[in-house]
Amino acid sequence: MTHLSLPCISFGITALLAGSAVTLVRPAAGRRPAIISALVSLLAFALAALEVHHQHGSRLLDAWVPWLEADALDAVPMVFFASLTLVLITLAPRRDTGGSALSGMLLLAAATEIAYAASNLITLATGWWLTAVPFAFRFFGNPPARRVVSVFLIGGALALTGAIAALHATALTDFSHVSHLAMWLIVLAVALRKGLFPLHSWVVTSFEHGPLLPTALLFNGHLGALLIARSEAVTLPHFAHQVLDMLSIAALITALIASLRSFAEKKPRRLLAFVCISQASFILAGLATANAEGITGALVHWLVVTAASSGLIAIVRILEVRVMDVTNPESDLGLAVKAPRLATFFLICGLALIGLPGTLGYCAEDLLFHGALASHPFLGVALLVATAFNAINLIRLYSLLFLGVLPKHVIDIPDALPRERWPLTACVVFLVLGGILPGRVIPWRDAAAHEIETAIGLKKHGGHH
Amino acid sequence: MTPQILLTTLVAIPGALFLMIGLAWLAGGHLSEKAMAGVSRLAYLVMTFCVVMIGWKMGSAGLTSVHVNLGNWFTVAEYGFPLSLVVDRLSLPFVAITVILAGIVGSFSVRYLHRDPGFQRFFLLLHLFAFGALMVFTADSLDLLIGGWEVVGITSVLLIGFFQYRRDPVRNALRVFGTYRVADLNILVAVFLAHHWCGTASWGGMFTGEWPGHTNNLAGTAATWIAVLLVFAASGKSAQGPFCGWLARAMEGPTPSSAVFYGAISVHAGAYLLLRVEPLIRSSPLATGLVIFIGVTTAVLSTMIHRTCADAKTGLAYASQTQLGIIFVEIGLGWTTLAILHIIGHAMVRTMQFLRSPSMLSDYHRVHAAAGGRVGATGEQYDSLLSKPVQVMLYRIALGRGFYDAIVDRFLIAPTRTVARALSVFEPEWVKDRASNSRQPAETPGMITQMMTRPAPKS
Amino acid sequence: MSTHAHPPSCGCQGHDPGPASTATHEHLRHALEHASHYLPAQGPIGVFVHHNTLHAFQHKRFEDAVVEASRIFKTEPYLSEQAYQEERRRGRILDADIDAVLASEEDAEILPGRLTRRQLRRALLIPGVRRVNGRNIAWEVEEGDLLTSFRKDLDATAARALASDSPAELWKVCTTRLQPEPPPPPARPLRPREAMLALRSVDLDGVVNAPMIRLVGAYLDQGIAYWPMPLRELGLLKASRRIMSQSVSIYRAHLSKIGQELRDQEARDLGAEDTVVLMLERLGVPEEEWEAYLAAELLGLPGWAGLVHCLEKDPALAPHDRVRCSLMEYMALRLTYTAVAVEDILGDARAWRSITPNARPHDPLTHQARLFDAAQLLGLSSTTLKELPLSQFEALCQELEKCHEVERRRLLHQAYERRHERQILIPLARHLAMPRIDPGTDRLAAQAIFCIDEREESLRRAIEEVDPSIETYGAAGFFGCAIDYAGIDDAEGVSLCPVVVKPGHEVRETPVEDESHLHQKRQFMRRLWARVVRNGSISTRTLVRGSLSTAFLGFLSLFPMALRILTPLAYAKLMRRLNDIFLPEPRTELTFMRDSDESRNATSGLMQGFSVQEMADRVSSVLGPVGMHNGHARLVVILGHGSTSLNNPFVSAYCCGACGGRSGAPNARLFALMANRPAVRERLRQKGILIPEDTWFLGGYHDTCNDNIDLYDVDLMPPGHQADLAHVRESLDKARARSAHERTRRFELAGTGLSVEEGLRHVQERAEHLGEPRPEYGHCTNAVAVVGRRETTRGLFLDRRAFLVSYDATKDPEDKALAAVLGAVIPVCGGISLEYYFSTVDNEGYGCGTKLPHNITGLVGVMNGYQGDIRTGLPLQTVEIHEPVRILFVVETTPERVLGVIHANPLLKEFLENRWIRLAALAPGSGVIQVYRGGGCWEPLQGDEEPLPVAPSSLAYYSGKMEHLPVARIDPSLTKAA
Repeated sequence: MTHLSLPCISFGITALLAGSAVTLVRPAAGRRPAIISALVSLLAFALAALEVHHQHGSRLLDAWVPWLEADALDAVPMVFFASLTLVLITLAPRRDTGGSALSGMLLLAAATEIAYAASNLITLATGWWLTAVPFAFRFFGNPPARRVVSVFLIGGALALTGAIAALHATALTDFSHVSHLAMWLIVLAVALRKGLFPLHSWVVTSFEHGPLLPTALLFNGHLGALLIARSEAVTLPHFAHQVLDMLSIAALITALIASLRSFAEKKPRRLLAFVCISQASFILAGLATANAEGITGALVHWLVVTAASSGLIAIVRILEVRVMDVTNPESDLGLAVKAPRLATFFLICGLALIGLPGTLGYCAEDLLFHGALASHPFLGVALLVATAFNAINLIRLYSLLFLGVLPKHVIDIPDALPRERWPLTACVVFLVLGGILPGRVIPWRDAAAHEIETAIGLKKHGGHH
Repeated sequence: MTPQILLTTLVAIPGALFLMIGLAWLAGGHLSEKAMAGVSRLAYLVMTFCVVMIGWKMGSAGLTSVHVNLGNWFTVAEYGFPLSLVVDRLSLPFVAITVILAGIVGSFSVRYLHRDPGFQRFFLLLHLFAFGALMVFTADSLDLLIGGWEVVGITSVLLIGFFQYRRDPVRNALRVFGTYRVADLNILVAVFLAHHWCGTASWGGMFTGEWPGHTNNLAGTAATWIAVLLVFAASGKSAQGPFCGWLARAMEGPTPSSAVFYGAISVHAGAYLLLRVEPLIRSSPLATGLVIFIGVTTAVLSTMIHRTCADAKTGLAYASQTQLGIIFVEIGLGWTTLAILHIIGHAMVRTMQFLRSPSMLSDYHRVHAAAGGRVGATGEQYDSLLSKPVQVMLYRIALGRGFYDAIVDRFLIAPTRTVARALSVFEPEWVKDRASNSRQPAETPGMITQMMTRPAPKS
Repeated sequence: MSTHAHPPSCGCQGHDPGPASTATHEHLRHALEHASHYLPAQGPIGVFVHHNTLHAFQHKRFEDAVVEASRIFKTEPYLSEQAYQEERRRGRILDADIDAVLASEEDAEILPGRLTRRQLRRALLIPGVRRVNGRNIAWEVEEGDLLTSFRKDLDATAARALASDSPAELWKVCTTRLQPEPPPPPARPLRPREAMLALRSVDLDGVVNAPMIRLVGAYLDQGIAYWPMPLRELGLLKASRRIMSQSVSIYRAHLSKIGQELRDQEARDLGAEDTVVLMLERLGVPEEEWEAYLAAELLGLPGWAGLVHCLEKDPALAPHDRVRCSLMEYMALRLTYTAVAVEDILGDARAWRSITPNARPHDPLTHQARLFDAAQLLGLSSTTLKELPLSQFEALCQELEKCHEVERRRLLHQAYERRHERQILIPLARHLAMPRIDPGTDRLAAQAIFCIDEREESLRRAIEEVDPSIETYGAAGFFGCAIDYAGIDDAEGVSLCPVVVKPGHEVRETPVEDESHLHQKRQFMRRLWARVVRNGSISTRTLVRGSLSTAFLGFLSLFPMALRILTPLAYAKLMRRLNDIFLPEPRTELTFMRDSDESRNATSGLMQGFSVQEMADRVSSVLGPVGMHNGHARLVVILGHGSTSLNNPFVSAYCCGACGGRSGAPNARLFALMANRPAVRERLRQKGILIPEDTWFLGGYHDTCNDNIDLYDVDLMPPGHQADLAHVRESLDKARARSAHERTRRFELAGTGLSVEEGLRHVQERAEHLGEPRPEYGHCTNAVAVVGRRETTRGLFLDRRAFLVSYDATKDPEDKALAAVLGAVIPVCGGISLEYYFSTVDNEGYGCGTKLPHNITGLVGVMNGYQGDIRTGLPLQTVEIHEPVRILFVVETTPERVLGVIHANPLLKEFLENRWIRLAALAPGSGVIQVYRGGGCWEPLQGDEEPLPVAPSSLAYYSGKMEHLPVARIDPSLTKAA
């Protein structure tokens, strides 16, 4: 097994943990240490990803801590997640940086990165457990949704731990002879974590009543998808395919129901939650297509959802801090007159999320649908319906926040501040330039998709024998 | 310069313009009105030049089509998204009217939108629209066509909601967007079915030969499915058949956008699609019948509605819809040359009429005076041909715009909402929703906000 | 309103509440009549008449009226506070103005020995309050520096007082001391819409307005729809009932029972009043609340209701089809829809009354923030505030509440107007103190009478600059001739006079005898053209004809369209050339003589033409007040004005207001013809107006949009005057180019550095451009009316902002002429000024918003988009550079005389005393200026802080500037000296 030439991963994670510790101990120090630690970790992960890229996507263990690794699947998401952390910390309004909130966000980031970089299931589970810590230990104060979120996160982690225990009981660490119990526990863990229908309501609650920016981090970890991708990449038992199929159908139903459900919503946060859940479910559905286009599509879509939904969530939060009524507007707020740039950012992120041509989302969905077509044609059609609904709801949300008559009491809110503008520009530039030159972005995920596909293909091949 | 280069330049200009100005604005830059007008004029001049040159080169060299293959946009495994453009005897007139009319309307708008806060937004959207429309008309495959198709759709919606600080435009824009999405579902499904059954959605793969007179590579149920779906998709764009209700709502935007979208280019994109896949439609009696049926019913209904419209723009919208219905019929009957002629003529007339719609008052008065105070009465044939009850009934249908909105509202949107609401049974109420009652922020205020809370009154 | 009793059988159906009694109906009629006062008074848009937008509130003081109206219409009373503060920063409002305004109001002690009301208000206005409220205060606290530092713009004393204090501490004191504001008591819903919005989030207007707009629109349509509404002869209510209740109908959400309801009403043959009474009962509105409820319901769609109301009062306003309109029927229909919808939503139509609408979200922090801000401005530190006795603290808070936002805006507005007043009057006084700029000849080369319109000011100044031997005068643009006029191309006569006047005489334009063949040819060609155009426009829209014409002829429209947009001037020239070829114009004359005393038109009841005495009366009614009693020049030119532009539904608003929104050319032409008649001059001599033998009057037309000037009946002129004519023509040509050039300085698109000729070309292109939303600025920027001799204003650059009314007090010993002049001028100019005022301060509420999405409907109005309310008032493009001030009348006479005249006329008295206009008197001999302050109180003008710039020419003064320019003195002798 080759190693990374530098201990990038452990360094990156340490930076995040250190940042978390510093901000916890000295909240007065403000945002700067948090930004520095996020930046350092971003650089470290970027180095790791570059090296993986140069090694053509082979698995590279961390130089110091052997149970962390970087490979084709996780290198890019790690970089992405680190940049997401940086983006959210940079544009977080001061309200969300008081107390131990920054520390919690960094801890959440570190936990997610650990899960990404895990080279074995135990490390992965550690990451899962750690993500629950900031919520369980009131890093973000005590928002109404704290308890629910903690319960579901712990539930997911428990299920995963149970699966690992089951695997250990059979004294095997790969999936080849896994027991049914372990497999089902994994499915349960994924369903809990991703909020698959009918277990999706906690995600909505978390969006509505939880701390919004940490929720964005939590949601965009896509650890459920990671778990599935990981399990696909290794050899699978016979029945796993059916299980995966079921999971993909659950994802599909989630996508459809969430997209339909949002028609009855008027509160921006809930509306956003449903659109995000629905679009994020495509990742899982794509992974289950088991062909190159679908899997690549899912992996690219992962990046799109991360960038776009974070942009959307951040903008909603930014507006909430500016005007109280955004939480539960009585009528359209008409903020575009005051904040045209925020409106444009929102629109571009949203259109990218639902896959408008010219954005990376389109390429991702194009691949997803082609993949779906090859394996499950009806899945493709259903996904189309879900995107159509999501698009309508997204424009509804856009109208609600930005269009219509500006209420008289909204006075002089500033448009995007520089602190907010640059991170959002980065999101938008990635989504748009990526959409115009997808040939530069999609290859990032080729190796991972190839790996997953070969794993599945080999298995299929073996099955015929 | 080869036609290939000309064609690429032609399509790329508006897109590049949009992208550059848009990103510059996001980063905090601002283009003055004058600069914007100058850049746009120059761009359309160059584009017109490109079109003329392409036409001239094709004519002089006797080419029936020009293909540009720009390679794959992106590739994954064996699948590649081909970027290839084509100009043939079908696209050329469409490309030409797009460039000319968008140019003229752009020139009109420099004056019309002067000092409007949305000046820059309007031109950005106009360029994006021109890019999308050119993409639709020059795409060599359904995949690429969809790209342009969606871009045209979203720009159209954003321009309907151009006066974003008012309630009605926003609401109508949303409604049109919804209609577009539902209609576009058809074309997306059609593309995937095409990929499924033929493995490709490029014109070269679906048809043999060049337009006109190309033949269909598909047959049987597959062809019927795809054809029917495409007919519905085209109906959505052209406000026909099941999607005939949105065109009047689109009149909320500024006059020039009404002209270029709903008089000239965007509404004819549906007809273009039908012309392009004409053999596919012809091969399926069901699709042919459907096109003719949709066209006839829409034309008859729209002309009736048009006759009762008492305002300038709605009247024009329904008049457009009427002619589009006829164009559909012509396509269904296979009279493609006539259809193209009709589209060109109709686009020109309608653009002119939309641009002149604020003149309707003085025009009418001038005609009235010139005719010596006796303008020929209209609508008399109803009095002479129909009995009064039938007249009133027909008038009711026309005045209710065929009850389209009522049907959609009550039998589509309302049930969807009900289902959506019913689905909330899967969401247990984890958190008591304090916010909805007290209208206080849902979260605990941050540390600083706590300073604002009132200390407990001392007794 | 007639008082005839309804037959008792009407609407009587036994079990239902019996037929409403006559008294009930009477009450209802009164209630509706009162409620309808709030509706806009604008009739069909083809004739746009400027009037006070808040005409219904004229009996109240301006300041109270605007506030009350803002509550009723949900509009703005003044410009926004930021706008005034911006003007203050710009120097348009001086601190001295604010002090003067505060000094003119009552003072009081708030914190004894420390703070007076005046001081408090001054602190709130200078430097102005910080705009923070409870909805977004969190942002200011968290991301801004609200609690970390004091304001940076405090004056020195306040800053010193706060030097040792901390904002957080001050905030804390504000928090502890201020009693929490109790939330406002829940209000009763005014109409069901508010209740429905609160309870079900259903916008009832969205449900009810759509069918109302469609029905009323179709009913009032004057010729746009190909198929006119059937059954129109039955009236709106019956026709709508029959049509809407057709059994094929599918109704929109919440209206599913409307068909049945309408059928029931029709079966019972309910009249409009009975229906309204029935529906009011069904909606549970008690009789004493009818008026308020009906008013609220009318304001749900004010434009359409107002139009119905206008056409009911004067059916002749309808441009083509006189449809019978009745607001009662409209109300019956609307209430039926409302009741059915409410019943569908709530089950019981009365239930809405017990629902409380959403209270405006209550922000207790708003008060706190206001106190916090005020404490900083006043330099009240936290300790001071903490130790303030309770009574004083409460007095402070109360006073603070009293100086709320609207109050501050009122004060700022007064300061704004005060500065304007001084910017006009002080330079005027300075100018009068300087030597007069006069023609310098014994006999003038020519005299020119213009309309009083402020747009003619630049042309008049330019003429006098170009040729000092020409003097100009201003008189109301119908020149005393209230006529019903039809030109050779007109189908029927139109009134050319102020709208309040009904013309009694008809005048026709006819071709001269020997060119009648030309006339016939012209009319034949025009009929042909009309037929082609009419059929063309119809046949591109219909089904069968449409498909043929669009398919085979459609591409032809590319050429006119492209040419028109790309080269508008060349296209216009081409069209004129074609017109000259195909539509030759015959020479014409006016038939305005009446031989017998009583030759009336049998149908219209109009007198044909004028008798000699009537002519003399009309001529003297203009020449008398103007002061042209003798010594006329050899040539007197009378110029009426109008405006032509393309693609502009508001073109009538740019025409001559004194001619009812039409062109005043025929009046000018007629006036000249009358004044040239020897018999008329004979009678005039008896009235003391001595016109020299060799004086010739010439009528003409000035187009304020493209600045063309045409002169009429030149061929009738005696040969001896040809040289004079050539001279005047040359001067007019030079002057109109200069005036056009001056206009271009306001147009951003014209750019700077145009030559005079380019300026003229630019305005001509504007008139011919299809896409030009502002062919001219109309009355925009109007602010002053000077009633006096030209000598007082000659040589003054008034920036096209002053109506100039010629009036010579020295020749009007009995003030009769003054009464006539003011009686016409004050309502007209005041109306224009107030319409511009309101359309500017709230363009969406009082004006008609931006022109760009306007959609002409029924040939009677414009609405936004495809289905909206009729928009009344002025568009944004017309008022965008307007300074909203009440018009300032400067009358050249003594204060006693002007006040006497105004107080003698109740209408003018109300207008003046309620401060809808401002007034100053300028003593004719001494040049002393006194400003009227209301209640019979005059204040002499003092102070001289405003300079009077002097420039050798207008061009030198304005060139390169776009903004409003202060009054200046244009003294051509400066160039000569240099």
